[in-house]
Amino acid sequence: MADIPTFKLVLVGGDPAGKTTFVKRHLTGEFEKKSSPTTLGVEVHPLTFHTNFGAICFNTWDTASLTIAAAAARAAASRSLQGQEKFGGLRDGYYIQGQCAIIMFDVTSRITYKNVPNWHRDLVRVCENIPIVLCGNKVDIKERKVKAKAITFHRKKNLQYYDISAKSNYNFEKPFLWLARKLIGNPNLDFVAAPALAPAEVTIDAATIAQMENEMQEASAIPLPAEDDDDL
Amino acid sequence: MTSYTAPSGRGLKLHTASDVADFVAEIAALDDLEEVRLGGNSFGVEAARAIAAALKPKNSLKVVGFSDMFTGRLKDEIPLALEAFAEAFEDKKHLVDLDLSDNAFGPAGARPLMRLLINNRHIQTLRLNNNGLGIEGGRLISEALIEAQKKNDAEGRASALRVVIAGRNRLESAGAGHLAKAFEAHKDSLTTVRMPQNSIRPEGVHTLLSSLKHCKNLEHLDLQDNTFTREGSLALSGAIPHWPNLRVLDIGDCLLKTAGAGAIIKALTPGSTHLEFLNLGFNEIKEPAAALLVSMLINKQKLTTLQLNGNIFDAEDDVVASIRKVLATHNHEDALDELDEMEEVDEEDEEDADDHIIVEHHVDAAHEANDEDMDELTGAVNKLKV
Repeated sequence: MADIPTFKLVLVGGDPAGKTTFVKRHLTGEFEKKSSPTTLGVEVHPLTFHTNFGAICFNTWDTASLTIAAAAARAAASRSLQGQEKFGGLRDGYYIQGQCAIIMFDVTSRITYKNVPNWHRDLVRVCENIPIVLCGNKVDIKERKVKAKAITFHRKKNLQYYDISAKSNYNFEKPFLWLARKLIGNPNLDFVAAPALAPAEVTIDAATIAQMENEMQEASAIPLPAEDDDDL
Repeated sequence: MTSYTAPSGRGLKLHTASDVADFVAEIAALDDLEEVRLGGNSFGVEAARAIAAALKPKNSLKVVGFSDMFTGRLKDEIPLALEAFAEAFEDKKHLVDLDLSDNAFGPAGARPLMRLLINNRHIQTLRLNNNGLGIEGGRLISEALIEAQKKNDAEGRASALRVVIAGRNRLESAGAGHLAKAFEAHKDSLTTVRMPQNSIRPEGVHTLLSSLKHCKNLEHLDLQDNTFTREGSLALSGAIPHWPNLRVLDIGDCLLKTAGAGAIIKALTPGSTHLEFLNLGFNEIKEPAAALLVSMLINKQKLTTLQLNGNIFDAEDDVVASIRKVLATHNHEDALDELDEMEEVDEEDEEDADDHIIVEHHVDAAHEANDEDMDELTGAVNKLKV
């Protein structure tokens, strides 16, 4: 592969947010297995996009969130017991030198949204000041539990938010485009060719898309609720 | 009880037999070992085999706590480790509690467990929480449990299986459907089924409840954070009359909506007097369904927890006061949770049929026999109006 700008992208979120489904939509992102047990057995997918400034590659790190969550839970337990973090290394190995991130939750599970602040806190503890996109996945499912107006975390933390649907490819490129613009530092960057994506398994009709975008628009105009806690 | 707990919380990485030599020696020294807990450390294949060999002669084993044992292990390592444990435990006649939760072994890990579940039919409590089982893992576990019951039947033995915990496993509707068949096979013994957060959709909830309604000794059902809507709710309301011993019903975050919650509350009204815990939180329930709780609560003298937070009615509504009043008559005024995350009633929101109580719906023939009870309850409610 030619020497193109490459960035480590950390993909996190509560199980099953659909992270693996999402990352595997990009067909040219053949993944390599990091098979050493010390690196958690993560999968790294190099996802390349073509922009008006040339190609850009996101080395996207994906792991079972329960692996990393278990490590985090033990770290928390250990902190509370001994006032220090003994397992930081395990979890941090996943985050370390991350240059950008996607935090994903499932709009059909409120609990995965409730966990977003925890993922965010863990992430920024290791990766300060990196661009982060929050993605609500599975918007193709009719019974949505996390409504647009309930999604406010990104506004408090200055993250970008997108509704996505991995199974229908809806908004697949949006998080990458936003991250690319931030990383390259040019808001005029655009993708010039669509990446090869796996064919959509479901489709969302145009009216539904229009409605979702409208709801998101309306939600962004609502003042943030005055809550003093840092979490939701 | 003679018990061995490995130092946990240290996150030890144990690869070889010599890495676990201390554990093995300590286990070997405990003659009547009844409980072994190794969670919180990570075992490689060789280390697991050494531990399994040490546990193999421990015929007094009752409780195996093997949660969170494989962090950082590869997909092809874990099944081999599980195979060694399955072999060690399959003939343990006193083993009643097996915990393999928080091991991300997926369907590949379910396969070696089949042998254990088929051959050891003494296990009463099976804890498989957060194992990433998926549809295929659910199918394999179900197949093993069904096979075990066939063996029980052939031997004229009753099932020992009482508790199945399989939350957070990506089971989806299809995986829930597979496990439903296993639950039906063990219908006489099961008392507790916990499958929260499994992305089970209405059709899967329906299938699951069609089987669970045969489990007449069911006491505890947890299906939190799956998706019911009207279809799943009606299936649940049809099953409720078949569970006279129901104590815990956790259906928070299930998108019951007003219609579904209404049907469920009506189904709980005439009987279900052992109910201690009811979670209906975060279900888009509006006032008309909440109002049905008042009469439902009259015969719920044991109810100590009622969760209604996150629904769509005003925390200051009269109905909330009425609910508190009934709870107070049972000396459980604190049973209702804090209603601090209620959704605002938005008059402009589009309403659909599920935002209303279903009027013409006969939940189950069993209810009709209870009409007299209902009349009595209605009379009691009328006297209780605030």
